[in-house]
Order: sequence, then structure tokens, then C-alpha cells
Amino acid sequence: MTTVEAPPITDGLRLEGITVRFGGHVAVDGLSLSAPVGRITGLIGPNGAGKTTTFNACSGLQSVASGRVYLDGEDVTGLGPAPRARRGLGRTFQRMELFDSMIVVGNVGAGREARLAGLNPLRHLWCSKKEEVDTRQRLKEALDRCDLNDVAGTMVGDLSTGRRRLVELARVMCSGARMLLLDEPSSGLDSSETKRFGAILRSLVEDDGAGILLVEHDMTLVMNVCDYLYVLDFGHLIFEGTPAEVHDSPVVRAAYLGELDADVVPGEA
Amino acid sequence: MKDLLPFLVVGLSTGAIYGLAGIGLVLTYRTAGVFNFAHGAVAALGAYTFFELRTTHGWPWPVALVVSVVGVGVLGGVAIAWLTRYLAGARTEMQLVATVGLLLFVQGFLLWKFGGTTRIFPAFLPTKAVHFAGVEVQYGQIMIFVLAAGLAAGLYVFLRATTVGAVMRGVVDDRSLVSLAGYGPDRVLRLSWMLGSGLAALSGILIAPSLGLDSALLTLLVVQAFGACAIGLFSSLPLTYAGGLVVGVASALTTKYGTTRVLQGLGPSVPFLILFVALLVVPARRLATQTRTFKVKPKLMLPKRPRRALAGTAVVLLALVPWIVDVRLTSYTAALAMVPAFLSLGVLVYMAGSISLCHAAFAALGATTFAHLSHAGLPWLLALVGAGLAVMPLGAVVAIPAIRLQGIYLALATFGFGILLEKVLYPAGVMFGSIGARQAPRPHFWGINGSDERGFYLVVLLVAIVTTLLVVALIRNRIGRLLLALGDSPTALSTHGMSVNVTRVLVFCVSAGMAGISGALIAAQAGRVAGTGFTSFQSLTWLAVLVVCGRRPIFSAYLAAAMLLVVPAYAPDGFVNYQTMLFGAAALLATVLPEVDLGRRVGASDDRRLRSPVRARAGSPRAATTAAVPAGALAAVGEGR
Repeated sequence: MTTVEAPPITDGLRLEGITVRFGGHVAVDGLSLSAPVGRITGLIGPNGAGKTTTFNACSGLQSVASGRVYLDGEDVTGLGPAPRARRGLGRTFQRMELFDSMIVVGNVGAGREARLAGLNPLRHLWCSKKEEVDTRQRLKEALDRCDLNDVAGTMVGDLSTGRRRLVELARVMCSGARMLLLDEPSSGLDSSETKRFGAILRSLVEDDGAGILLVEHDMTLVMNVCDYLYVLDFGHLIFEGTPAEVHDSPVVRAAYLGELDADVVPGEA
Repeated sequence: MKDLLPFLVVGLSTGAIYGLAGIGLVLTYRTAGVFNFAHGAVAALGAYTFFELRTTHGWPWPVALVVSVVGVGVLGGVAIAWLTRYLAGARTEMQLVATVGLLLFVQGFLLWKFGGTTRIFPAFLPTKAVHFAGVEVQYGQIMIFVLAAGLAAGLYVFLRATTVGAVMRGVVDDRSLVSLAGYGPDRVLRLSWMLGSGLAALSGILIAPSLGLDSALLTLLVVQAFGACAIGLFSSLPLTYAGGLVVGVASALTTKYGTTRVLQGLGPSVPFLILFVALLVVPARRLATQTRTFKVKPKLMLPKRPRRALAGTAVVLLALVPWIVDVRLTSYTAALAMVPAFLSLGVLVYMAGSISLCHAAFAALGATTFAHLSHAGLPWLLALVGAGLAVMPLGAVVAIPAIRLQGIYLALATFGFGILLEKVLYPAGVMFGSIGARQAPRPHFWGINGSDERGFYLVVLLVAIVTTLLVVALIRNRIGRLLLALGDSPTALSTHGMSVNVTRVLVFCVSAGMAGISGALIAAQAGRVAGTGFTSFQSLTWLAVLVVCGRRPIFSAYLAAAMLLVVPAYAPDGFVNYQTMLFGAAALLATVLPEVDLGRRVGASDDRRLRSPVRARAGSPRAATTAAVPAGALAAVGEGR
């Protein structure tokens, strides 16, 4: 997959020296990274490196001990998850957070409705005609792009893990978020599903001008779709660079990739 | 300072009893994972047993004490262990309703057997006093304090230093691991429930001389224990005991300084206040987390066509009721008056995955507001709507714990809040006042004569239908979808930009408002409304009845109202005596039976094998092969047979 003329890179998400502590344990230590809009930025590292914690700090589910979080240039460090989401930040979860008592359509639509409801009690209660049309349109588009039309009326609990991951992605797409944090979206997907998944991600960035920060263990996917990578280990940033640079870095190899993944060559799917 | 000391003495001795009750509760909660609302009912059972043995049969008190504590402890423990072992894997709200059912059952039994009057419970511990720093301290008080402290310390050491204690603590974390290590969790749990029930019985017996023999009062002892538990963060035994002392002393001191009516009401409700405040202040993560969310998957609606046909038929039938039934019409009216309350409870439980154990308090506030507004000359319908609106802010207050807490802690917070209102606000002038009752008018508008039973029935039916349509609108609109989603994953909603707290406050406001309308209707029907109709026991009963009636937000509400008020009207005389007992039993069956069916006993198979180690080891040859032979070979063996 080649990068067609990239849309102008605006600020997107930027972390400046964030530190997250759990009691005495420092889970993330002074991490700075930038995940601009119009690019897929990868965040990789071994289990326990602090990737999900970083995500939680980005989306406001976890407060930071120090450092700042910027979203499109605005300091959102003090904001909760909902206001950040209203500013265009969306995320998926490693342990999926789906609405299990609803069907696929309900799940995906709820993403948009939650965004529209926001802070306004009246909009929690009622849905105007205009919003309904808007939701339906986005819903249709999200279902089409994630290829979920055949299961639109199925309860999400009855789907395979791969489809469930897609439902979560469709939900965050439908909500209209411009900056997406995807936490291990391909775990539980088979290789053809992963490939399709990669294509959806590229199209999100190239066609919609979204920005993606991706946590992922599937190196084939990471090396193929990401434009830039950050490598975490024990809460520290140990390397950053393009996939090719990361692939060749002895530091990363020692800490994470090992020799097993050495055969994965960036840019070759 | 000197005049404070007597209150301190009283406070410490009653506080020690609260501490004992609290320890029993924490012990069973931590080991079995089921919060026993019936703990106070077990205490009441202990007190009645003791009373029977000692006063009626003339046994010497030490013998009666040991026999009733051990008897209630063992029998109650075995029974509760049997009931709850099926509940360990159940949803929190099912566990809650099951123990509430047990509470109602035991309380109903005591009411039926001994009647509702408070009897004098003669003091049995020596009342001779010593003077200590100028204060009179009874020997009995010293005995209670020492006994309770000894038991608390003993239990603490038992849990820390003995193997059984270690297993008991282990059961909390992982039942299957404990059984893998060779200890049957069932046996340990039974022991824990026996200890808990024994402690409950003991605390009931010790507190009875100061409370009198009153099953309702004794049952509410559990809430004093809640206060103690809250201070112990629902996990630490020593802190719970200390919490009991704090609750006791604080109650005694408010009695001393409580000169105004409100403060007097505050005295007995100090534990609830402590519970409520503790649940509000303590960081949610510090509370022992054994909570699951309440989420019950609702069966929302039937397909369109049968739904419309059914709804139409139901409305027609309901409208014809006044011309079909005769003297029992008042029961039908009363049932319809309860429909909004049940609907509102259903919205909370089935849709928002939340819970409220203070719905009777919402209804009470609605009733008094209605009385005030119509007294002030407002038209009947406006007063009704006003009553609903006035209760909404109270709903918002209750939503505050709902924002922070889930599961059993939310249930406790709302229950504590309901009791607080009942003790402090009900007697206040703005509500029922010192007479304990208020006048409320029947409707007269649009040519409807509300004094006529039929006319009034139709008005109530109309209100019920309107509130039903309101709930239908809620379900169908955005809020319905958001509430469903909220029950599943609040995290996902907030990361999509929704302020979930707004939704929670909203749903509690709407729910409280509808309960308030029910209260107003009840008031209008009776003409004179008293606080005794809206006790915290009502709240418990309402929830139990609703859960028994299934999980359709609308149909279940009507069914529950009928169960609560219409069915008893057709029952033979004297049914009232068993009513509470039957509701309790029904709630127990409705919650426990499905779990038995599902065979959802945690670690059941491991446990049974462990109970007879010989059989497991020698085992059947089949058992031996299962362990050793790989799956493929097993399949071959299966085909061969």
C-alpha cells in the first residue's frame, strides 16, 4: 500500500512528558509523543510496557501525575473522557466495551448518539429529526465500510471476536471522531480479516483525514499500515522512527521484536 | 464533661452490639460474596427465640442465651448457606432481592407468630451498677462490652491464625483455587454463615432489652450494622467493631443534644447518616469490590401488531373493571395508583441497570406535596403534576451515590437515604407532622366526581395510562437506547462524548417524579395519608414484588401492582397475616430457583468430589482415564462404549 498524497498534517494528539503512577509503580515515565491527523502512528512494546495506560491517559480515563495532553493544540489534561471525546477523540478497547444487550445497529448508532447527547439533558431525552437523519447516514456508512451489513440485526454477543472488533471500530467511526485511539484492534482476527482491517484504517486516514494512534502486537499489520512508530518498554520510550528504522533497530529487537519477527519486512504484506 | 459520661457509657455498650452485628455481616459478605439484608431479621429471630425460651418457658438466661445463639446460628447458617450457594454467581440485584425476600419471610413469620405489637423484653443481664469516675455503669453493660470485644478479637485471631480462617479468607478471592487446594468451599461457607448468624442472633438478644421485642425494629438493627460496616469499609473486622462503637456513641450523644424535633429524629438515624455519608465520601475503589452491575436484560416490547392489540384490549378491560367488580374496586384503584411507582422502579432496574431502595420515600414526599398543593387551592391535576415535579430534585440527590457507586453499595446508600428521610423528615412539619398524617382531596373536574369510587378509578386509570405512555416514549427515544447502553458500558459511552452522570441524574429524577405521582394518588384515594404507609419496608417489598413479576418494564409493573394489591383482596380472611411471608418466599423462590436450574453453583463439581476424598482418589476407572488420556483417545473410548 502506498501513501497517496497525504492530507495536511495538523496537530492531532500530542503528549508532553506524561507520567502515570499506580502507587509506587511508575507505569508511564515522561512519555512524549505526537500522533498527528492524517497519519497512522503506532505504539508498540512488550506486554506491561504501559501502552494501554498511555491510552487511558490520552482518553481521560486515567489521570496523569505530570505532563500535558494536547488535542489539536488545546490542553485537555484536566478534562474527563467525555469532553475529550466531544473534541474529536475516539477510542476502542483492548477488552472490548460493547453494549452487549443491543444489536449491531444499536451499538454503532449509540456511538453517534452518545456524542450528540453530550452534556445536554434535553438531547439525552430527545433526538431531533435532523439528528436522526444524520445518525442514520453515518450509521449506514460505518456499517458499509466495516462490512457489517449482513449482521446488522444480530446481538453483538453472538458475533465472533473479529466482527466484534469491527463493531467497535464502526461505532467510533460513526461517532465522528477525528482522532482515533485503537487498542489492539486486530487481536482475535484471522489474517484475511487483519488485512481488510488494515485497509479500513488506511482509508480512514487517507479518505477522511482522520488520525490514528494504534497499539498493536501484530507486527505485519503494524509494519504495513503505520507511518511512524513509538516503541515503549517499562514505561519508557526506547525508540521512535519509521517502520523500517524500527525494524532495523537493535534496541527494539532486544526489547521487543526479538529475532522471530525479523522476517517481517516493512511495506510487504 | 461529666454529664456526657453517662451517654458515653450507654453509647459504648450499644455500640459494642452494633459492632457485633456489623462483624457478622462483614464476615459473611466477605466470604460468601452475598450481602445479607436479612441479617437483622436473623437477629430478630434470635431475640424471639430467647424470649420464648426464657420468658415463656422459664429457662435460666445463660442456658437460653447459648441455646438460642447456637440454635439460630446453626440452623440459620445452614439455611442461608444453602440458599446463597446458588446465588454466588448471580447478578447483584438477584442476590439483593433474595436476601430481601429472606428478610420479608422471617419478618412475616415473626409477625404472624407473635403479632405486630412491641412487647417488653425484660433485661436479663445484671443491672446492678458500679460507680466509676462518678458515673453509674451497670455490670450488664460491662459484660456486653467485654463479650463483644472478646468475640471481635477472637474472630480476628481465628481468621488470621488458623487454617480454617485462612481458607475462609481464601474463599473470598478464589473459590476454585481453595477447592483445588483440598478444602471444600461449601463447608467453609457454611461455617461462615453459622458464625454470622450466631453473631446476628447474639446482637439481637443483647439489643432487645433496650429496643423492646419488636420484629420490625429488630430487623432494622441491620442498618445500624450497615453504619458500622461502612466505617470498616465493608472489609475490616476490627474497624467494623470500632465503627459500631462510633455509631453507638454518636447516636447516644445526639439523643442528649437533640432538643428540636428534627434533631430528635436524627438520633436514631445517626447510623444511616454515617452509612450515607461514608458511601458518599469513601473513594469507590476503597470499598471492597464484589459488585457486579445490576444489568438485567430487559424484554422491552412485543412486536408491533400483537403489542397494539394487547394494549388496546388491556385498556378496554381495565376501563370496564368498575362495572365488573363490586366492593373490591378500591383494591383495583389502589393497584393502579401503584403502577407509576412500579413503572419508575422498572425503568431504574431494567433499563438503567441501577436500583433504588427508597422509592417509598419518593412516594411519601409526593403524597405530602400533593396534600400541600391542593390545600393551597391548586386544581387537582396541577397538584398531581406538581407533586411529581417536586420530588424530582430528591431524585437528583439520590443520583449522587448512583454516580459513584454500583451494585450493593448503591442499594445500601439508597436504603440508608430512605430511612434517613423516614426518621428525620417524615415527622417534620413540612411532611406528615407530629400527627403523622395529612388530608388529600379527591378530584372533581371535567364533570368527574372523584368521590364516587368508579369516577376516581377512571381518573387513576387515566394517570396510569399517561405514565405508561411516558415510559413507552422513554424506551423508544434516545434516552431508552442510551440507558440500555449505560447498563452495559458506561466507559464506552463516556469515551464517545456522553456525560453519563447527566443520564443518571435524569433517570433518577424521572423515576422519583413518577413515584411521587403514585404517592399523590395513594394519598388522594385514602383521603388521609400517613407516613406509616411509606416505610422503608415498603421500598423493599416493592422491589421484591417487581423482580418476582418478570422483567418487562411495562407489563411487569402492572402485574406487580396486581400482585401487591388485587390478589390479597381475593385471598381468604387472615391472608394479611401471611402476606409478607408469602412475598418473601416468592422473592426467594423467584431468585434462587432460576440459579438452581442453571446449576450455576460456583465450583460445584470440585466441591462434591472433595467432600468424599476416598471416592475421588479410588474413583471410578472412568474418572482416572479422563485425567490421563488425551482427548482424541477419549473420543475413541466413548465410541467403543
